[in-house]
Amino acid sequence: MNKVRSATRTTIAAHAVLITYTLIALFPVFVIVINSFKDRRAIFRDPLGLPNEETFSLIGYETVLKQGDFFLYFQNSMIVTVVSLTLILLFGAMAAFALAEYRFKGNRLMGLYLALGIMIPIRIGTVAILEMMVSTGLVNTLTALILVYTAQGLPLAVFILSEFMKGVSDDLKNAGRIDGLSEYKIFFRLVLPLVRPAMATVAVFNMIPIWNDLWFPLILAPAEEVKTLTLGSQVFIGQFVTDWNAVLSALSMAILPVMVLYVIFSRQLIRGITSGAVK
Amino acid sequence: MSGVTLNKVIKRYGDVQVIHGVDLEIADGEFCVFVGPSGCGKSTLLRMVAGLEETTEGAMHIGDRDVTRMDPSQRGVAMVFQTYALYPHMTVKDNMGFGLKMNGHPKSEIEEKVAEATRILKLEPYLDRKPAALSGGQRQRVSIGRAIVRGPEVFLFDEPLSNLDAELRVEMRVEIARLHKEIGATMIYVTHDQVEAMTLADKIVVLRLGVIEQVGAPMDLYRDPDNKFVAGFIGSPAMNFVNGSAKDGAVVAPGLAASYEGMINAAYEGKALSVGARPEHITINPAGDTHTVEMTESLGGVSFAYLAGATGERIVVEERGDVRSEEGAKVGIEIDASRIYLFDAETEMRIRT
Repeated sequence: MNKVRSATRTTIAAHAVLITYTLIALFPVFVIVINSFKDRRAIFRDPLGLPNEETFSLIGYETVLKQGDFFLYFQNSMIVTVVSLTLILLFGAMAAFALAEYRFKGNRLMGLYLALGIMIPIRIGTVAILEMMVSTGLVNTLTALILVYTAQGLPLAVFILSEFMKGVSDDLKNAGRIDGLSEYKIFFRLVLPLVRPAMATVAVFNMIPIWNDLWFPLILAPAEEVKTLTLGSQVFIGQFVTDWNAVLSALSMAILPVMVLYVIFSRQLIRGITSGAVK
Repeated sequence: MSGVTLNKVIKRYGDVQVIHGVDLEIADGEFCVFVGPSGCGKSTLLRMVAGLEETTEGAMHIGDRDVTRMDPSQRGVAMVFQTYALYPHMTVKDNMGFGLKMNGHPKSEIEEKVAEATRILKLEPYLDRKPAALSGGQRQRVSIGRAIVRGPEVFLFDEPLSNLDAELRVEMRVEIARLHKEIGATMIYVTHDQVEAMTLADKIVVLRLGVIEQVGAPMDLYRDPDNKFVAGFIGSPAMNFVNGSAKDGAVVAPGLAASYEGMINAAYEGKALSVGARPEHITINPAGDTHTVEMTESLGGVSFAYLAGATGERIVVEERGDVRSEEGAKVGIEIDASRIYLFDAETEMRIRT
């Protein structure tokens, strides 16, 4: 009985810590969301107050939506994030499979070379990247951003996934080979489903920095028709006047798609964990 | 259906040679067991037959086809792994049908073959479960089922029972024997357990360090081993070996406190010998006093007495019946001279008389 009781107590304590952390983490988001529904004066007079009849206002959302290009920015961000993630996962997993599965000369060296990218931030190479993009005519295209983000995400993806793929039993792959599967089918049908939790982890790790990035959109794709959401929101932040309603509304809306993507990936995480082991 | 022929098969990893020119012929429908201590190359040899390891030199035929350089899937083999190697994210049914599905066989044919394998292995209640929800024995049955569905010419088993507990192992052993009778395909089976080898095999291949020591029917290996290694490996408990020598045409074995006349020719005069006798062929004479009983193990129907002779060499003796010897007792031993095996102490080869 005592043990049971103390177990309950531990659970309560653990939950208390987690709930506290959640509250702290969610508080800024909460403040952004409530303030996006208030008029300008209310934002400054009582930043922590909930919107009421008097202060409730959709002026921020109206401004953002009237701006017209907001949906375009939204679409740009979505395209860049989803395509980059797909490419990172696809190529990262393929490279990881090759490194984990095949013995060839320079295997270790290649792995080390790919892991180097984890230690060296890609922004150091911004000038060189910009020069390359200019000479290939990719400036002001989404392709430029997708290429950069893919390069940025690959090292960590390869590193994490190859560790996981080494854990997939050799017998399983050999069983596939005897069953007449090509190496591609072994990769897609046997190995990928088994490393799905790792894939979800990699996706979550990469998604948010890409979505939130301001640096590369500003440098590589500042043109109106390829602006991302983060860059697009900057129009409301002026040197002298900032339209806080619009900024907060834009940010509130920018949270949604990331949340949807996150829910999708985290479901994969849980499913992967419960899908059962090899033996 | 067809047999398997290996011709001077060699496997090298870099400079290290692990299989040294194996010649072997396995007849159609034969149950062949590769047996040997760990590291003897039996699994490597099996994987070479499967095509999972490249054959460095030599040739390999299944039936009339030269399969030496073929991909695993083209060889007409199916393999059952020690770790089962079931696809964890698929149900039992999908596991069995996956190979055929991936190779574009029609759905009706897959269903039919899976149903047939299910019937043979009595897997009906588990078809929609995932491997994680099965016990070890059931998983291995599914793994065998996956092999059956492929309809191979040759079945390959890589220590399929090693991960099961003792009781299940016996059960599955019987099942595999039954399967062989029912399907009649050629089967190659790797194990380090000589009980499995003895009970299942039509033909046993004893391997050591990448070399075949002897090939033969189980009882032939038991009765007539070619060398000391095979004699010691086949039979449980292992054969007893004591040092001996040839003197005046007789074999003298101090460890057995006995000498045997007329068993050896003059060419061996004065040479060192190794004298072997199986535990089940030695009887204890309670009246004697040449050996001391150091320890006994009673298994019920039989017990094993560990004796030490004047030379300090230990001998295991199997005892049956109501009277068993006790620890510390002084006893004598008797062996029928026809049950003695002689080996050259140096080459370890059998000396046949």
